[in-house]
Amino acid sequence: MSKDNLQKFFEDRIRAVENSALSDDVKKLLIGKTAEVVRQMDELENAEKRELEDFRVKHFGKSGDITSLTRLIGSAAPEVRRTLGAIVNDIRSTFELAFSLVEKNVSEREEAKRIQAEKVDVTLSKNAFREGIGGLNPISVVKNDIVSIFAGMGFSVVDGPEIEYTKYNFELLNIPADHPARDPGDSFYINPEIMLRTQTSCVQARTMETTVPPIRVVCPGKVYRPDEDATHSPMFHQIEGLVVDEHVTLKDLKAVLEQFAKRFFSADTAVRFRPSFFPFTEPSVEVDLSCAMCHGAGCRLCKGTGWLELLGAGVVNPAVLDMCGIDSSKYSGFAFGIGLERAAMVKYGIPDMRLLFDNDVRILAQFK
Amino acid sequence: MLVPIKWLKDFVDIDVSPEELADKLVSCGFEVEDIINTVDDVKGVYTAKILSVEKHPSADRLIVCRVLADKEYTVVTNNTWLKCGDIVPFAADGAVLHGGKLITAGEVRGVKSDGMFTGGKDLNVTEGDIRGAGEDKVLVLPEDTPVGVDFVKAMELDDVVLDIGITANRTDANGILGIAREVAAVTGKKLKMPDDYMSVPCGNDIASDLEIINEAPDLCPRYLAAMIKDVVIEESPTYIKRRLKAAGLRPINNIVDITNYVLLEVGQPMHAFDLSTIKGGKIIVRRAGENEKIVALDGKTYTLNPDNLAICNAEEPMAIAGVMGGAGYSVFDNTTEVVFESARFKRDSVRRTSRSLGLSSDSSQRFSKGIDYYSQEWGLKKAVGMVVKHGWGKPVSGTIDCYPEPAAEKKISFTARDIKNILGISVPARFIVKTLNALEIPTEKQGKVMISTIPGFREDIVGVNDIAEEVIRMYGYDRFDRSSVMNGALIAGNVTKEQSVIASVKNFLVGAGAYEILTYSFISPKAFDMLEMPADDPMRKAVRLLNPLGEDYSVMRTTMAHSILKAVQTNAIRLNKDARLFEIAKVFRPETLPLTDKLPEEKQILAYAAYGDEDFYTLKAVFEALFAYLRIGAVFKPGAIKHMHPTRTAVIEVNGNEIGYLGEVSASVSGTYGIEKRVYLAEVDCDYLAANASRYSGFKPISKYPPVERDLALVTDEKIPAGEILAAVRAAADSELLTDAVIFDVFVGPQLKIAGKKSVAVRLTFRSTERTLVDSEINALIEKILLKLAETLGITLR
Repeated sequence: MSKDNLQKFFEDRIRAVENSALSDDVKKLLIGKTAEVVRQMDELENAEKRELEDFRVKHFGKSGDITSLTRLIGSAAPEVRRTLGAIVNDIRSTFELAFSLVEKNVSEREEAKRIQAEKVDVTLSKNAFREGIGGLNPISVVKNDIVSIFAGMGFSVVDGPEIEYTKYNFELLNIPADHPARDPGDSFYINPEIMLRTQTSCVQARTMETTVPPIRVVCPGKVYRPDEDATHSPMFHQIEGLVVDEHVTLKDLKAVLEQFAKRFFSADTAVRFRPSFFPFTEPSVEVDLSCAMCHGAGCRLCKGTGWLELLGAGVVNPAVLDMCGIDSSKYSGFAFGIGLERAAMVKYGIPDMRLLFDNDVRILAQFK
Repeated sequence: MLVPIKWLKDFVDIDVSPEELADKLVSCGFEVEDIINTVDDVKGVYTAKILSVEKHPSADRLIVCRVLADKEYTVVTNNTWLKCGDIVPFAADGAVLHGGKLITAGEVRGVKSDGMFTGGKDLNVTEGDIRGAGEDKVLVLPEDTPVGVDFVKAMELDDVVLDIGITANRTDANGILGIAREVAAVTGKKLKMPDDYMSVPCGNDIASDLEIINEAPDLCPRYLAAMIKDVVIEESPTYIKRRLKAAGLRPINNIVDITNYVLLEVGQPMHAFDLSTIKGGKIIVRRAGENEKIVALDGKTYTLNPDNLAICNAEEPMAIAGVMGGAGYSVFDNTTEVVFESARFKRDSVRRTSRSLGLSSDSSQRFSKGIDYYSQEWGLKKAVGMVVKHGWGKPVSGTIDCYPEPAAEKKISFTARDIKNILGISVPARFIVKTLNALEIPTEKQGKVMISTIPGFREDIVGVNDIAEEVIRMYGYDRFDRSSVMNGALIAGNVTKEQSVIASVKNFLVGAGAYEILTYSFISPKAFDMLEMPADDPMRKAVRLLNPLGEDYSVMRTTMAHSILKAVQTNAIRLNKDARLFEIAKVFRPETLPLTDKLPEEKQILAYAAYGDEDFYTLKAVFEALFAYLRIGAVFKPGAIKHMHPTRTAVIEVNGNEIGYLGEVSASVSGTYGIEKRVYLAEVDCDYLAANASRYSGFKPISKYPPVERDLALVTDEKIPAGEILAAVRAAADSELLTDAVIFDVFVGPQLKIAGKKSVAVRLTFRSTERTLVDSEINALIEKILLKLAETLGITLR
């Protein structure tokens, strides 16, 4: 209800009072009060909440003057009581309505004032996370990604010792005593029978020794070899995968690695096998993935070839199955190994493997 | 291995480009690491014959020559010694010399010159390629050089060399012949043997001059020898020298060059002895005696022992088997009778000897990779053939072959179905038979069964899986169709509880603003001194590597403290103003040292370090929250750790087990690590956390009644730790109505007016799940608590 409406409304009430059969005294009282309240209400326009409360008590409180008007009704002559009642209640409810409008205006105005007063500069910052928000090492990030992809394909995660018997690192993986890979130039030894594992494949052998197929595992972990340069670290990480079951073939290996490649990089990633050699797999393959950066067009990362050499794999050599106590006439399997440093370097474009071991927070802060 | 394509062409016709050939080799398992053009930048240089030489009209030190190349030219040069009829390299106008130098025609002192004559250096050829090329003057070519043709072509310098990586199983491919066999199979051509592979004449004349006694067949399974008489020692022809040089071998004389040539072509290391040095006419293959000495071809004296195999005459060692010959027994300028050795020595024996003597050679490197029984004969045939072809001597009839246990012929039978079971795709039997035969693995089909006879040079083929690989690498790895449902049982993927707890701990610490670092498992033994560990500290009992990369990486860590402090150091000295770091990794704690047959315990430790705007309590807050997150009830007690601040360190106990410590690193240790700021450090047994963490401990209903809080200001002895007061409060209340008790203020100071005391403000929260608590109940509980506190710890209300 607008202010003009309200004014007109009260003028109508006053006219109604003037035209009514009420006594002049009562008429005068009603008109006088009404005009007074209307005037005071006008003044409330710029009032504060506290003044509104005073006004409410003064007019609508127990002994407020509008409230007191209702008391006239009881003492009025019976023939005018009904008329008076109607007029007084009409006046009262109209005042209450008008007052609530004023109240609403005032509270809106005050709220607006408060909001203005509380304004913040959203471009300023207060560093609640003093140290930044922390972060996993890129090797952990890549490991988690890879593990979760293979977990989705039914692989479980298994661990094994880093200080290992040569038996698990070599013999059971078909690497005989006179094999060049057993040279001290290629492995760290503690004594002739105990060494730092050079590959997570040891965990394959341990798993096969203790598990009845079906086997479907991945084994992430640290491995050690005596090399150190931009693409080699004496300690690095691999994740090994092993599947042993009836009727497992090289084709299944390719299908699984294709799924992995598409999840790890992007849906258009292609997989290419190249023949290779590992003593514990036969046939063995080097696995190339189409370049994550140029998608096969050729770039600096893939040295123009469109392919990234990322993992080695193959059909588990039946001799290895037999040595680990699995009947190679019934079961077959495949295995693969991924270098996590290489995967991280490719995924994040890290130029030098040594940066992964630098531990400067300015580097670490780049990975989440 | 470096493989010149021209050399390959001795064995197989090649009609594809080097790039195509490289692609084919890669597709069948031979990685081509590089394609090298031997002469790639010399252009426009011709062989030219000097027709006339005249003095320069206005310069005494110059001459003007008319030369014939593709046509006639005039050349002004200062090589006044050149004469009519000489054939020289001529760089015409527009020619490019080695290094990119461009030649243009011009005028020299008023006479027009169409180009210039060049020396060996400008053409990227050396004395080894063409005699005279090493001298710093114009190169005069042999008289029979064709005139007017491109110099690079005329001298056959334009070769392409493939640098091929050979996998460890293909020992047969460590020679031109082996690669040629693959090239023939992969390009569908026939392998042709050159005519200089010859057997010695039939007979046994060799036996009258030579006896071979093999006393160590375990280290030398085969020793084959032939003899040449009427030997002429001379320089090898250019093609031999050039091929040796391209492989990085130095030409010496024809006989020595033959042994090196055979090494490159067949892959068989050979040795040539002067028969006159074989005292007693006996070659004895035996273990060297203790401290037996030999002066090798490198001029150095080596002291042998019974681990080393020696090739001896009746009196002394003449060669370190497979490694290097002795200086006094090889081929000399006056040698007339030569014995060629073509043997198989065990690869690990050669490798060990080479390593222990610190002596490596092309021969030892080749033997170390392993060699087959087939190469000895072929190596010898090539050597004999080269001698005969060049007329360098006469082979004596017969060979001596010490081969006590000849390798048995190996046959493998299989069906196309067997191959499919390995590969997952069907390869037609016809293709299988054709491919194996092309690879010189004779294979025939009898009904459904195929039978392959494995040749001596393919010792890597032992079973059907190897056959499958031969088939698929020729059939193509790109022929798998893309759809495949993995065969076998359905299994749900799984991580163990330990693995999942460790992942949560890492994520928690990341949330606490920490970065995960990565440090080596091996550390310097000095670390224990840097950490000020006492001499008898069990942490010093660390596993040592036999062959570390260096002293700084020589022991397997027993503590993470050193590694993480080094990471703090990295950040601090680079002026990163603060950092929170952590790592979860294994430490290695052996039961006894040295390790015998038991592996050391491998324990995962969580290490955490922080510096910058940190104090003891910011450190402790992280761990309190971590333990709460893992639902592990940990208590912190004042503790003493050698490398830590004596009064700012707590040990962490769970159910009476000490599982770690945290606190401030002692100033002296931080100083040792070069860190100026205070460093806060924790190490916690992560295996314990993983085993004892729980995600959930049963559902508890929540109270709908209001809590009541009461604050108590207590005066206590200054020495009583706050934790003990809280524990005492809880114990005293002994009521589940007391739901929380925290200390919100500790105050020590003169205002307290009682020396040795402190004021501790404790806030107690009471709440019932059944009703609204009334004052009288709470007062009674507080009364009880105060009474107990006074009794047990002498604590009073302030």
